[in-house]
This record gives sequence, structure tokens and C-alpha cells, in this order.
Amino acid sequence: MTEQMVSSEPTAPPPARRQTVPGADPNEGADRTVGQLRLRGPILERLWTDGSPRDRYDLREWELSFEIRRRRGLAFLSSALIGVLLSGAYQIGVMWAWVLAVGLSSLLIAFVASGLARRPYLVLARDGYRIRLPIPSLTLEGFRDLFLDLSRIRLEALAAAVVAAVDRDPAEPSPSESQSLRRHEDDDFYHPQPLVDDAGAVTYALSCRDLPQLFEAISLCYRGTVRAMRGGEAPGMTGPIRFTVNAAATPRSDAADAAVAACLAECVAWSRYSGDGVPAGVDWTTPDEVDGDGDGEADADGAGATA
Amino acid sequence: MTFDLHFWREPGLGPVTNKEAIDIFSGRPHIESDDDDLTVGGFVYYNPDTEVYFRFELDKASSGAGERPDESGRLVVSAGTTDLADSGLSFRMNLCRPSYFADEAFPVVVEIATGLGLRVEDVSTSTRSAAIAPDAGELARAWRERNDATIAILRKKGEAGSDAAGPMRFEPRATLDAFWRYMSQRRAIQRGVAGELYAPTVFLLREKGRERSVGDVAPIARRTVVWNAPGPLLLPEVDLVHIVGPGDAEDRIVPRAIVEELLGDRLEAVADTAAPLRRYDGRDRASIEEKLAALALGNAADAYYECEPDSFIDTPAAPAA
Repeated sequence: MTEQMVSSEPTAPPPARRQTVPGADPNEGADRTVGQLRLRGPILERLWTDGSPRDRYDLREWELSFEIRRRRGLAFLSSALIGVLLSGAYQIGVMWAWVLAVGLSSLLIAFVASGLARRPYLVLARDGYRIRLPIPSLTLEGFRDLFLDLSRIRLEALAAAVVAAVDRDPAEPSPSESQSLRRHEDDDFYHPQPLVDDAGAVTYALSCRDLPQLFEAISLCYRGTVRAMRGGEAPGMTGPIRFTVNAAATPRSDAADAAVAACLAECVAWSRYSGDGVPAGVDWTTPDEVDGDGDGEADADGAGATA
Repeated sequence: MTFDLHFWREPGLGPVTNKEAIDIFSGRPHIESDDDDLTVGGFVYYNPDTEVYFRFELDKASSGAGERPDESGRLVVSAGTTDLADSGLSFRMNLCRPSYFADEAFPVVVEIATGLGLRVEDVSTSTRSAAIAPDAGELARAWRERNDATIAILRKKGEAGSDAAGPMRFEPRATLDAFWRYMSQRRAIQRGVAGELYAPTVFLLREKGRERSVGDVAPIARRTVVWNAPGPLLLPEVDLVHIVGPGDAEDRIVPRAIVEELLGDRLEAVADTAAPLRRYDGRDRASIEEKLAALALGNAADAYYECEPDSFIDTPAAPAA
């Protein structure tokens, strides 16, 4: 465990504050997460056992999740290896037809197997670092090997959830996604789609009904992006964070401008308490200023021209 | 390390159904479904302003009257509640947390329990008492009692290396309660009185390198707001103000009294708010800017670090024998 902690890698913030950053999939081109189970707060607390030697891990402070990753890279590795062997066999003229037949069969099997091969990981995250522990099997014993004192959590439930994640089609919404209970009716305001330009600047197009909602959206987007940058989960996002606000939805005034400036100043100040190396450039503008048509109106899509 | 409640119902009403649960939890502030655990319907309360969180669980496999599975899966009969039916609903909140967790959580618990016609049992007590009608004050008292006892136990074990209740986790209750009073109202303040101002976040900052020894009960977390100077400011009850600007001036963090003196009677009390609050509307901007330019006091922002509010405990250590 200690060695694995040393080899920790950056990650995103705790799930409660996590922001979706579409287009910035850290798994792009590598293993792909096909299912995930997240445990938070009170459940984590139950993992932490008073008085046991495991106390030193203080699991209450960690985000615990399970990731099921498809070993896509295995297929390419296998095919490349077989290709080399085939080529070598052909060159030396040893039973080339037989080798070719066996090689092609192996290639086919490798492709099929790699599509099915999914490896579960237990992921512990804290303070911008993530430890990914491979779980040797999907058995309860496998979990117990990792944490000796797991008797206080519902192992059966965890195992069922992990198995369900393995079996679930990635395109299918998770149970929580399909749950009808939502935090807000207009969830899109809280998870707007960012646009990233070539220079790494991030632009959020916000369409909020009122100032309080705008403040909340700015704060969440800013913090989420900064955390993603810091955690290395948003490669390419290195420039300033710009917000374009649909001025038709949120009336603009001198007072509103001053209030938004105060909100942005707080965001930037927060990043200074929270660590170094964070881009602090923030700009606020209305769609009309961005689209430059001077008509004083938002674009038809309500989001302004942010390209 | 959690405080657990179980809810009971009149036998004729039966267990709480999934639909009932969704109906009563839907639309409540800060509550989300958490159905990742496929055998239990979870509803998580998380307030990002105060960092208070707790969880309700609905056991979909809940069985009949007077019986419920214990942690090993066996069915047990709860003495004193045999005339009530298992509702299938339970509540769980962490211990080793600030006292204000109880102030925020139990009114919600009472609302939910009352809405569903439930009685509540504190399952952590060694003798299972009869389920009671939900009472926020009584539940808060029970949680605080357990919280204090757990912290005391952890402090004794602290010598073995656990920092779960170590001295750096302590802050006086007055500091944390004042933080909570404002932050729990911040969104309401933003939507009401401060409709055209920004209701700032109060950060709990500690000076880097500042340590606390066992028995030291002086506050070291400083409640801080950011002021985009010389713009308008809504000023809650804080210790420090982080001044940003004007213009390209270096940020600095100063005691609140400096800002009060600088703004003088331009700082006006805001009426009708639960937490003490004053506002500066941005007038005499030039004069304020001039005073800020002459201000030579203050620490750099990187002299501090931010603390998560829920990382604190406010139970003082017992005096050394």
C-alpha cells in the first residue's frame, strides 16, 4: 500500500464538487473507464475503523471509488507482437503457412479477449492525488485483502454494484443518472459545456435566470476547471477562464457588473489559498460583446458566440 | 464513527415505499439521490456552503413489523418497538464534526420523519429505548453527547498516533457557529437583501506554520471574506478581509478593523438578517481608493491556507489531571 501511495497520480476534486469537463477525457487513447461506483462521506466513514492499525490511512478524508477499465491497449500490443513473430517466422522460412494460420487465430482471439477484459480498480483520492489499486478479483476476498477490516460496510452491495458496472453498457445511463430526483431542474446551468481554444483558454457559455444563479454557476465552473487543471485531468486547459453570459437572461447593470466582479475576485482569491500554479485570468462579458454584432442582443442560441 | 437513527411506523402504514421517499426528498435543498449502492436507496444531503452532509438510506428489502437486519444480515427485534413496523428508512451522520452539524441536520430529519409519519429510534444507545416522536432538540442533544464522547475516546488514543481528534482539529465553537450562521443563510441573503450585491463566501483560513498545542483553545482559524476593492462590499461577521486591488495592486489580507476604519460610516447595517451583516455600496470611490493606496498593512494571501469547515471539532479537551 505504501509503495502504491508513493506512485500516486493527480486527479480531480471530491465528487461533491467535481465538474464535468467534456472533451477532456483523461482516458482518451488509453484504457477506458466503462463503469464507476462512487462512495462518499458517511459510507467512507464506515470504512474507517476506530482503533485498528488502519487508522493511519484516515479513510474519512479520502474519496473512494471503483473503476472498471477496459484493456483496450492489450489488443494493439497483442497484434503488434504477433505481427513481429509472423514476420520473423516468414523470414526464416519455418513452416510459414502454419505460423500464419496460428498467428491469425491468435490475433482474432486477442481482439475478442481484449474487448472483454475489464480490470477493476479501487481508487483512493485526496488533495489532488489519486491512488489506483488493482483489485485482483471481483470476489469479497479480494476486497478484504485490501482492507482487513471491511466488516462494517455492506460488501455484498459493493460487489453487486461493481459487477453491475462491469455488465452495464457504457452507453446506458447509470442508476443515479436515470434517477428522477435531481438537485436542480435546470442542471445544465451547473454543468455548462466549456469550450477550449487552441491557446488553452476555457470559455463557459452561461444562461442564468438571475444573479444568484450566475454567481453559483461561475463559482462552480471556475473551481471545477481549476481543480481539473491542477489534477491534470484537463490537458490543454492552461489559459484564462472566460465566462460569456446571456445578457438577455441575466439583466446587466452597473450593480450587476460590480457584483460579478466581486464573485470573480473571490474565485481567484480562493485559488491562491488553495495552491500555486493556477491561472488567475478571468474575464466576464456578454454575448453581444463576444459576437460583436452590436445589436445588444444575445445570439439565437442564447449562449453567445464563443468560438 | 457515525450516529445512526432508525425510523419506525404505525403497523398499518407499512414500510416507506420508493415513491414516498422520492416524493418527500425531491426538491429539498441540497439533497440528491445516491442510488449507486444497488441494494439500498440512498439520499445524501450535502451543503457545499457549510460542508454539512448526512445520509438517509431506504432499505428496499425491508421486512415486516418489528424486525430489521443487523449489520451481519440477521433479523433482530428491537425491544420497546414491537408495536411499530420497520419503515426501512435510516439516517446516518458522521461524528467528530463541528456542533453546528446538529443544528443543520436535525430540523431536516424532523421534517422528513414528520412528513412520513415516522417515529425515531437512536440505535446507537446500548439499551434500545422506545422510538420517540421526532424532536430536533432532543436528537441534537443525543448527537452532541455522542460526538463529545467519541472525541474524548479518540483523544485518549491520540498517543497511539491517531490525529482524528488532534489539537489542530480544534477551533472554538463560537468561531464555527458564527461561520455557520452566515454561511447557512448566504443563499437566502443573496436572493433577498443583497439582490444587487455579491454575498461573499466566508473562508476559514489558517496562517501557514501556525501550530496549536494540546489545551490551547484560542481561535486560530480566521473567518475571511474577499473584497474586490474599492467596489461594493457585503461584510458578515469575519476576522479578516482579503483585499483584491484596486487595479494591479498586490492582494493583501488585513484585520476586519482596518476595513471598518477605512470605510467608516459608509458601512451600514443590513436589517432583517439572522447573521450580523453590513454593506458598503461603493460610494466615495475615489476617496476609498486613495486610502487603500496609502494602506501599508496586510499579509500576502499565500501566507494562509484554506481549511474545510467539516475538518474541525469544537469540543474542548478536558483539563489535564
